[in-house]
Amino acid sequence: MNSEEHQSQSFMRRHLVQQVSLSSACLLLWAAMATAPAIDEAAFAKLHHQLQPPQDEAWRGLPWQDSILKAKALAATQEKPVYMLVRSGHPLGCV
Amino acid sequence: MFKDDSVIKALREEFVPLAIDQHVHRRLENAEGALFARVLKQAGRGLGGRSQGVYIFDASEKLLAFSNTADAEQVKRLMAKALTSFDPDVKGPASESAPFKATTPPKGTTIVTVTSKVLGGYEDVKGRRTEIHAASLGRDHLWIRKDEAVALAEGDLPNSLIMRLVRYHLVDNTRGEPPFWRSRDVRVADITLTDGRLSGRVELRSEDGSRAFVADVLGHIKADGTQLTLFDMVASGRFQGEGRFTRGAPPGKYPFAVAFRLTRSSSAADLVIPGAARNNLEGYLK
Repeated sequence: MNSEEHQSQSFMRRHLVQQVSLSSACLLLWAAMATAPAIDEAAFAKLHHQLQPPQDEAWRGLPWQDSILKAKALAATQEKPVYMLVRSGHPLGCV
Repeated sequence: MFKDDSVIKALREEFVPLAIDQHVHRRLENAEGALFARVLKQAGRGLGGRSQGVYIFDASEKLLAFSNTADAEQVKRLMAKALTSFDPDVKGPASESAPFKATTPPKGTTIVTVTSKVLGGYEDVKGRRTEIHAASLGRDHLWIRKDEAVALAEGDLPNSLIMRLVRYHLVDNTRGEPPFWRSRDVRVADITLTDGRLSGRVELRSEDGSRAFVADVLGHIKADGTQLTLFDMVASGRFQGEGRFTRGAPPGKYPFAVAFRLTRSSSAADLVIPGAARNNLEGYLK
C-alpha cells in the first residue's frame, strides 16, 4: 500500500469512527429523551389525581399524641393503655 | 392496619394512641427520651434505630404487648392480649417534666402535601413486600417559607424553593426513609414560573451513579394577595436505584411520579415535620 492509499484508508476509518460516534450520540440522546417523557396537561391532571391520598382516612381523626409523657398521663386519667406506634419516619407522615 | 375499622374503633375507645418517629425520640436526652428507652428495653429493643413496632404499655410503664407488625389481624391480636392483662387501677408516679413538643411550622409557613408513587416495574420483582410496595403511596410535606410564598404570589420562583423541592422531595419514599439528594447531585433543575404555570425538567444523579431521577415538571400556582390558594405540581419521569432503607426497588429505570398539593386541613398528620427537616430544620429551610 502506497502512502496515498494509506492516507485514504486512514481518512475513511476516521470518518467511519466519527459517523459511529455521532450515531451513538444520537441514540443516547434519543434514549435519554425516551426515558423522561414530556408531561402535558392531560398527563398532569391524571397523575395529580392518581397520587392523591383517600379523603376519608379514619386514622386522621384519632386523638394522636406525640409525647410519651403526655400519653402516660392520659393513660392514668382515662384508665386506658397506651398504644405506641413507632416508625422510622413519622407514623402519621408515612402510613 | 388503619384500613380496618375495628382497629380504628379500638384505638379510639380502648387506647391512648401515640405516634413516635424513632429518628427523633431516640435522640432526646430528657425525661421523654428516658421513658421511651425504658419502654423499648422491656421489649428487648434499644435506641440503635431499630425500634419500629407497636408497643402497648400502661400508666405504670409496664409493657403489656409488643410486635413489629403493620398487619391488621396481628394488631388486633396484640390489642386483645394487652387488654387481657391491663389493670386500670395500676398507676405510676406522675412525671413533673414538660412533655415533648414536636417541631411545628414557623409562623407564615405554607404546607404542601407531597405524595409519590412507583408507576410500574414491580412485575418481575419477587419479594414478601413487593405487593405492598407496588401499591404504596409515599407521603411527606413541603414547607414553603413566608417570603417564598410571597415571591410565588408575585410571580417569582425562588431558587431556595427549587432546591428544597428537588433535593428533599423528588425522592422515592414509597418503601421507607429515602436518601435525599446532595446539592451536587442536582445536575439540572430548570423549573420556571410563567403566568402561574410551573414547568421544566430536573435531572438528579448521585455521585456514584447508583441513583437517578430524570423528570419533567408541570404545575399551577394561584394566589389571593400574598396567600397561596393553589400549588398543584407533578414531577414525572424515570427513577433508578434505592437507598439503605428503601430496598426492593424495581430493577433499572422505573416510572415514578411525585405530586404536590396545598394542605387544606391542620390535623396532627398535616403538621408533621418534613422528613428532611428532622433535626435539620434550619438547613431544610435555608
